[in-house]
Amino acid sequence: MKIKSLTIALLAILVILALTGCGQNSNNASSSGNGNENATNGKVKLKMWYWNGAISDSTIEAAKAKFPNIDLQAEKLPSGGDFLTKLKTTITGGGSGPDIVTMDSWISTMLSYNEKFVNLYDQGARDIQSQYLDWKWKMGATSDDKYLIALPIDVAPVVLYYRSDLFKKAGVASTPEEFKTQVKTWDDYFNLLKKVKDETGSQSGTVVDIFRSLLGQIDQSFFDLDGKYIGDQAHIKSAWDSSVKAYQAGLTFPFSSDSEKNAAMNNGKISSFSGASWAVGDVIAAAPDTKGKWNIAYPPGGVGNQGGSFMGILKSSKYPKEAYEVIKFLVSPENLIAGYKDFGNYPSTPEIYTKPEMVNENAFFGNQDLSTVFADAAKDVKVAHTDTRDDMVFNEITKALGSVDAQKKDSEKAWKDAQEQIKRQLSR
Amino acid sequence: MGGLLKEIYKSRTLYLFISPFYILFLVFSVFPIIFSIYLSFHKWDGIGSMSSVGFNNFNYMFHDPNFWQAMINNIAIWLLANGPMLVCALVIAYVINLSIVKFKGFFRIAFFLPNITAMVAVVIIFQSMFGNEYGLINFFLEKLGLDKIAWFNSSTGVRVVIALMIAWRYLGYNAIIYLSGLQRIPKDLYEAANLDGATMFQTFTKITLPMLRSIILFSVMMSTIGGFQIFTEPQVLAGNQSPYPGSETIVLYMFREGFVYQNYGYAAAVSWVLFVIIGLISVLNWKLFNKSDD
Repeated sequence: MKIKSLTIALLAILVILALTGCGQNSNNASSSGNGNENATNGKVKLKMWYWNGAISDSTIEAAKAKFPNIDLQAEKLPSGGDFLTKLKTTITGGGSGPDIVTMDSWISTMLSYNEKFVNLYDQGARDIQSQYLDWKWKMGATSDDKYLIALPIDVAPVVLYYRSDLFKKAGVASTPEEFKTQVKTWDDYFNLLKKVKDETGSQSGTVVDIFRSLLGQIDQSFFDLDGKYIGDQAHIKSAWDSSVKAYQAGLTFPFSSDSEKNAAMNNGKISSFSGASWAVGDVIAAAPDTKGKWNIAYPPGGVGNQGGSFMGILKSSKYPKEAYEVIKFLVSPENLIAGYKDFGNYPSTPEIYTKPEMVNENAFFGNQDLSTVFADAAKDVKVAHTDTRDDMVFNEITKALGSVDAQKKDSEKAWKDAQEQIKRQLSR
Repeated sequence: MGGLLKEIYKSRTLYLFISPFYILFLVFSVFPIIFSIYLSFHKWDGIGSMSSVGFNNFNYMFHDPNFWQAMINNIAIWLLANGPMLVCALVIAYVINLSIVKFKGFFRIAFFLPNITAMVAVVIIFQSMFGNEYGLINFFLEKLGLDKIAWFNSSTGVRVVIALMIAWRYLGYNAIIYLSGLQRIPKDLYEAANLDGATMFQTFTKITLPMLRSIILFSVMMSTIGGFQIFTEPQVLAGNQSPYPGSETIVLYMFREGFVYQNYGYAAAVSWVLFVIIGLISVLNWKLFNKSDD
């Protein structure tokens, strides 16, 4: 009988251990706050979540070397919506999540929950503020600028990608300098596209691509500061109308999947499009046959931004001080150059734009130095107020815009239907 | 009841041994299911606080034209894919099972292969085959002097492409199931029919089909459940917000509401409605196919 109860007791312990994941550190109160007292291995353990292409792996190695007292565990997760979902579940669940997290342009949705993040201003972030682009910095801070949840990593300035050979053939502006002086507005660009199309039969990106670029250039988005819906107003409608105009003039490539678009680019059917800095890699991968024929230029209609990421610290972290030191190092100007070299993430620190290390002459782009154009396009970006419901509105509007092309829907009716649909969604 | 508990207490060591499964099941299956009922009556963005909204989520859903459109798309794709596919699967199984066919093992594997192919890869291949501009099929159509077909610009086209993917993937799977059912039918029934001078069609309809009824019920049920859970094909093919008509299924609708628009409560409500629909159709199937089963 005794043996039997012993068996049961042992089994119970085993089950409990298995369920609680046995290895959990039982950090007591005294060890928190000062990492050096951590009894397990004398090192401060910091877990970091990022996605491929957010921060260069060589930079992470450099951080490990620089902070020998920190055990930096960098975990690469799938990017996009999955990352956001995982982050949200972790924050909501309240379990032991990562210390350092990477955030994308959806950082604005996290700002309303700023209390879940460490206020980096308390850690001394004011001291390094001047190194970063002002507009980018503000995206990680609350509107009263008292709470900063993340430091900027890269920006994604929008430029015009174009086939200089085809543009030259059409006898229109074909050097970056000519573009900057001659193609100032979208109408200038459309007029020029018309000639290029007549001469070479090639088109611009899809109607939705144009709309997205136009949207990135205005300082208002779908909701105002009070959360009131303004996506049915003139600023959005005029972007819609311009895109439709380009479509009706036959200047846009038919709405299609990425693989179709890539094929069109490689076949010379798409001769220009406006896209963010990270599209460099996309063009090179999509259109290998057109090597050396591309160039980039200052975009029509002014500067804009699409994407660009941040790094913050969760409130649940036991070592906010050490974590701050790590992220400060990871996003320091020198280290952002590595990310730029590795995958075209354009740094958010203007002081290095003119440095010789930044010169980026790319054979695919006829040895043009891409950095000067990006630097030009990264300054003075106007940032629109973002809202958690932006995705929904953007999806509905672009879906309707796409149906104007794909299903030949009347553009006014498509606009009206989309607005009705959005208002119904917002009504609940 | 007391007797049962006593029995359990008596063999408590054994129950302790199997308890990890039940504890995990409670934590990771039962709790989420119950929580999702609770969630379906709330509005929640995933981080902030939940607010109770009563039946609003359901009310909104039944008045949302997108929901009904998703339902229509889903039923259309399901019928387009599974009807012809199950008939073909039965024919294939019947042919493989014929005594004159050699290399049965080879055919079994060959037909089953599509089922283990990564779904995303399949979708990408189909996407490039049916592409509007540079699709393989349009390439051949043009070579033959015919007009290109803009597959993705009409709801019928999109549904046909998705249905083809599903049929391609599950044809072999169902054929294998039918084949095992066919092999269970006693040979002497066929020999007797042969002696009586029955034609091939007669043996098929009078012996094979009735003997296979339970297997057919199983495959129809599985296809129904699968058919209402179509997700990867339209998601990869058309994305979350494409203007391609006819591609949105209920699970895609639910996914987008939950994980893209952050309406978790609403998505939970959709999942429960989906659960009820699948349940009803399964019962209907059961009644139809099991009518005269004694």
